[in-house]
Amino acid sequence: MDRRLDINFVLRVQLPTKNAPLQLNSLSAGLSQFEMDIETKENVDYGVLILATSNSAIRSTVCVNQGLAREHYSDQFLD
Amino acid sequence: MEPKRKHGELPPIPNYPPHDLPGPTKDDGEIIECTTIKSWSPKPVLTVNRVPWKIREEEVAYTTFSMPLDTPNHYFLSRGAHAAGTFTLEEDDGLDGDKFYIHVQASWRHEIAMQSSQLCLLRRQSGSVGLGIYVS
Repeated sequence: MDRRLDINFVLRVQLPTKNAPLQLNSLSAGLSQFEMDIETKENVDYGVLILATSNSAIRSTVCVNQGLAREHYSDQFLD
Repeated sequence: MEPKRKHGELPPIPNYPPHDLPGPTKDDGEIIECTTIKSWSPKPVLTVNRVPWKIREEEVAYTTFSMPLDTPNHYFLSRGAHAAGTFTLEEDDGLDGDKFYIHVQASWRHEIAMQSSQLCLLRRQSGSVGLGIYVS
């Protein structure tokens, strides 16, 4: 694997509270309409960007970048 | 000057990715637009969005997409082996209207990484709108 091709993306999705029933602790209610249909990368041995919705839970598991030798991990479960 | 097209050939889609770049498949959706070099800015729209852990040797660029709120579905996907990243959802009291925004920061060490990547705003037949990240 050619590490020169490594690239990192930070996505910040800003949602208007007025147009969706969105308070951060009830974001999933908005997401049930919003339906974040996040797909995982296939056939990747590292650097997985995963988001999935399951009922009222939002799980975000992000940012493992071996190329830059750093690791971030976060989980968020919202009511 | 626009290259000559054969008789009956459709005009190219604006910002359609060159064939040598990784890009959307039919399943990913129809391309609305893809990033080009002009899509990126060296400065973020919102300075508070700057990520503090940028590594000094990295190049950084920013772009912003908007999506309509009123679609059946929204989706984000990533293809390729060389991308990593974070994804956060935020609410913003200051936003009003019928769309929302996706602020993107890209960082890389070697220019070829950026040259081999693109982000595309997509639409599926269902009307869903999504953002695809395509890297080598």
